[in-house]
Amino acid sequence: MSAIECEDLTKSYGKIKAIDHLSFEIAENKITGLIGRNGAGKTTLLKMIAGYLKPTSGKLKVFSEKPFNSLAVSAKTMFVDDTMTFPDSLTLIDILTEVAPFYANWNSNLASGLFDYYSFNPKQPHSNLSKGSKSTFNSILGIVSRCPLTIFDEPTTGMDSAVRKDFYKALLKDYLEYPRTIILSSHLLSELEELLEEILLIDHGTKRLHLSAMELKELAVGMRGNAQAVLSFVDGKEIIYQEAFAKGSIYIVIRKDFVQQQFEEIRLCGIEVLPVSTDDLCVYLTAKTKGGIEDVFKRG
Amino acid sequence: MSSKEVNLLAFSLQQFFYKLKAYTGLINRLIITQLLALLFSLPGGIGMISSSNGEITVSVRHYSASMVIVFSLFWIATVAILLTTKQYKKMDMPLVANRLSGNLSDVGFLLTACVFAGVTSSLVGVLFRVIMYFTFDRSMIVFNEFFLTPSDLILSMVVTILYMALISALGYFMGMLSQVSMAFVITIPVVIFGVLRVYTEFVQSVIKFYVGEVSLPLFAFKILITSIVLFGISIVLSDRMEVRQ
Amino acid sequence: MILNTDSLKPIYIQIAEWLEGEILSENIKEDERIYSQYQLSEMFTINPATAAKGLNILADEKIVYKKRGLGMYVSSNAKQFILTKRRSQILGRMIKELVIEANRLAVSESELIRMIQQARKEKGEEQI
Repeated sequence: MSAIECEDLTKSYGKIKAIDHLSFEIAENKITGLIGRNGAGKTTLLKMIAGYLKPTSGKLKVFSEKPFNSLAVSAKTMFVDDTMTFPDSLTLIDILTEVAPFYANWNSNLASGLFDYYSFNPKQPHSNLSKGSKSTFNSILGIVSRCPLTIFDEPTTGMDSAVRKDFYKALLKDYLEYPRTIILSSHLLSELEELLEEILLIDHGTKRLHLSAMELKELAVGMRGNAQAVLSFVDGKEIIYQEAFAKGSIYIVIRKDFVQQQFEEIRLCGIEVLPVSTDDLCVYLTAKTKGGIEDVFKRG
Repeated sequence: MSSKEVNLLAFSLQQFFYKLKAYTGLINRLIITQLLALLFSLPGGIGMISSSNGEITVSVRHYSASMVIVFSLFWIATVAILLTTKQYKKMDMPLVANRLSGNLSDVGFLLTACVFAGVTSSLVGVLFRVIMYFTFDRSMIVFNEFFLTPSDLILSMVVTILYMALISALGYFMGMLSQVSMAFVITIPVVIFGVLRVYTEFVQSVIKFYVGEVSLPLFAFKILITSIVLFGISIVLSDRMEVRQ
Repeated sequence: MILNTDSLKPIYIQIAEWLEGEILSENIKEDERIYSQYQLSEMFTINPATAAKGLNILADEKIVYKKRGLGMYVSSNAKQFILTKRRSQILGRMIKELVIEANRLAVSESELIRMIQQARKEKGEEQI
């Protein structure tokens, strides 16, 4: 059974389409990364999946039910983002105690373990926390609730690098012990990508790619060297990205399978074959223009 | 009962218990409000009449704890409106909830708060009398209607609770309207003032419909129906809204 | 070992190679149970599917085999197999790259051989 089924999904705000005829399917118990630029529609999509926003048109099913305003879906879903708020009368420890009974799979041991590990003050109200501490605390909720669908929207905002590493480790460990469908959206794809099984890349509300993380990493390769030489190998195929630098040299990004057979030849010509980080690849695939910011400075 | 209905009831109940613990801050504000009202009621009383026939002057100071009830009514109205705001609705998000369960638990909380406020305001009334009894010059107190019988106390509690329920339903309804459209935030007060000025008689008869009711069961029934209607409309309105980003 | 996420070499291949190294150095002996995908996932903080793919590469090459219900085990003769494979594949590839680079830098054949002998000598001294 798929956890999430989405067909021709559209969300409009007046004339603006935040999500534009989006179709995809997410299988159960996989960790999927939702990647895209600011304003690509990630949060809108996640909120529709969680049942907070109503689709304008198209089909959206979470565990075979329509998520909007659904108690059944809410019981199976946990949505963690940096705008989570709690009533002021509840201290941090209260929150963990009071929210637990709602979720059948809640792991209290892990909750108190993580709570102590991060040295939270039990008596503190949630609103007083710093940005990073809030994210850390919210992430605890996300992990220990063990909901069949757990959504993290930019969960590491404000977290320093050590805390982020701990979060990924904790999430992975608990996922191994108790598999569930997890969706993570984040800008920091480079840190995240080892955790992911699949990546869904969206751009302006549409699907750009939906691949396994392994496939995405091997999708493209960079070539850098003498412009003529490089382009001779391209042979008319689609260039994902191109950037000129140093005299007569260019750097291009192209699909790996287009040039894979010729790697040795390419190297012999003095062209460097370089890996492309998935971060960069996603940026190139969703770029507005073929050039870069340097072009802005060149115009003067 | 289908399993979906059972779920709704179960989760609404769970949310209700959650809110009882989560909104204790609001209850604290009630206590403070009532004590403040007490403070205002003590010195000077609410009215004084004086009459004289030339040689003897009689002054009567009228004391009443009715301020406490008035303040409590304002409090419950504020709380009811507050519960409909985005800020409070957002706090339902981490829980297992939908619009309906959120509203049902809100109503449950409000009615519980009404009962609590009704009881405490009557008790404050008793406290008021106790303070008067021990601090004022006893020879000056007219003991007509001073000592409360238990049935008086219970009656006043019940009546206060009913009024508070009505006001809370009204507050929730107005709050919900404002959420549906910002326009209501301006038009509602304007309409109210307008109606008060132009259709004063109509307003008076509406008020009399409730306040003038002599029979307690009938009064309770009127309040019950009105509250159900108001809460009901609020719930229907809310069910159609999205949680805005 | 730390995974190189920036490399051209996919993570699952790095995992497979690391496991081969463990077999070669006999940290995991033949007919012993090899790490499961879940263990690897935890050890390296990677998705278990990635770890599984690494294990599958070894399984495809018959370096490990699956025991029903018990997990993956190192095949007998795995060590020998890996040695032979690495000699031809990896070392062969390295030598090719060495030759290409040497050509680019205009290093003659005799110079290259001398450099290799020097490196061997230094390594030999280190181990004493």
